[in-house]
Amino acid sequence: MKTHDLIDVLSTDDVLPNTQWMSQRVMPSLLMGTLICCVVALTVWSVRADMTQAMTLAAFWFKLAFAVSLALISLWVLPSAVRPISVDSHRVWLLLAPVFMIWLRAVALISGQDSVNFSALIYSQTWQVCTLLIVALAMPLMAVLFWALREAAPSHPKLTGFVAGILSGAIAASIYSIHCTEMSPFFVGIWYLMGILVTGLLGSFLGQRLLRW
Amino acid sequence: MGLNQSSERSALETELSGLFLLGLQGEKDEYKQFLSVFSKYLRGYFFKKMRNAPDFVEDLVQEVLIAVHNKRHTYEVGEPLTPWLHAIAKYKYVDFLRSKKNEHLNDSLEESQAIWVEEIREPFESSTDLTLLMFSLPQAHRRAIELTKINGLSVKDAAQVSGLSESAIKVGVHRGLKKLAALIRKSHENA
Repeated sequence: MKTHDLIDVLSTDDVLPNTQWMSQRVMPSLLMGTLICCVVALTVWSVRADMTQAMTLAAFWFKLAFAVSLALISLWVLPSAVRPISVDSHRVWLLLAPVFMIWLRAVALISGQDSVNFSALIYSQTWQVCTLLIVALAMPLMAVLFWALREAAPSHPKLTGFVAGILSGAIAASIYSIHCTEMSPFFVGIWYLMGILVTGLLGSFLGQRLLRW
Repeated sequence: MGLNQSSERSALETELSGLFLLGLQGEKDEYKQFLSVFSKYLRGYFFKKMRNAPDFVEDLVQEVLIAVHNKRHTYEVGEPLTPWLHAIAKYKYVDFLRSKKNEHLNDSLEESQAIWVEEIREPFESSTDLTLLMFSLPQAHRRAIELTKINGLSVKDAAQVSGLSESAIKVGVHRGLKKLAALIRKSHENA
């Protein structure tokens, strides 16, 4: 086909582009995905029984802040990673901040003590399932998000997929933290982080395949 | 970068973004003009990059035009247009190099800034077979497009050859092209 004819074809296209697609399509999808995750989580698990008591503990809020801040940072990074021009791909490094925060708190917690039982801090009751449950809970959210991102045109699909994955994982972890009774920063800094990271890596793997255009 | 070159670039920016913005609002003539001006610069861009493989230039030009069309919602109104266009051209170029990795086509990816200043007016024919998509059109539409757009007949001659009325040819071309545009969009969404 001649380029001239292609231009004829393209210019007769009647569908007007929606330049507000991020706020009108992707964000609502993300919101819907989050709601789905909430419903799934509340149906399968309960809110932790000692919730009112937990809410008085700093450790509970640290755990929640860790997951929520990761979600917020990736939500902030995402719009700059969905267009051919990447505004600031080094914004991604900011994701390390919450990780250092939780590790710092873990170190602060043991720094005053003489003997520390690390394995009790790290391998407490639910470590075997925590990572897995976060990844599983993130799946419907990730599916919805990737579906909405078909409209994107990222310069680095792998990186965009990673950010979308971290976002899904961090939202899932935030929701999961309402159910899970573990609160040690060691536990959160390892197993929660692992769950979110696995989702991120899965996202970058999918991004490389699904977000190319 | 010389003063002359940069002023030429900003003149291009003004010309292209004026047409493109009108296109975003649904002005088809301006959009068409945008695509044809842009395609000339693209052709120059890719010719310079791919001296070793001029056969692929027109394929790439068309790839980029389709990508720009399908992803035009990712342009943010208010930002400069040419860097956005350049990012798309570069993405498609890198993609192309990757797909042809073993065929010794690589030229440097750098030196990419001095590009929008050269144009080549005569398009080559691309080997991309969009005619394949045409088979999903209703036969009358396909026939009308084949006769006028591919064989280059006038509407009158096409009507005579096909035995259809002139208005049937016109309508066929119009609806057929519209449908093709939708098909191209769809095939890229699914890809």
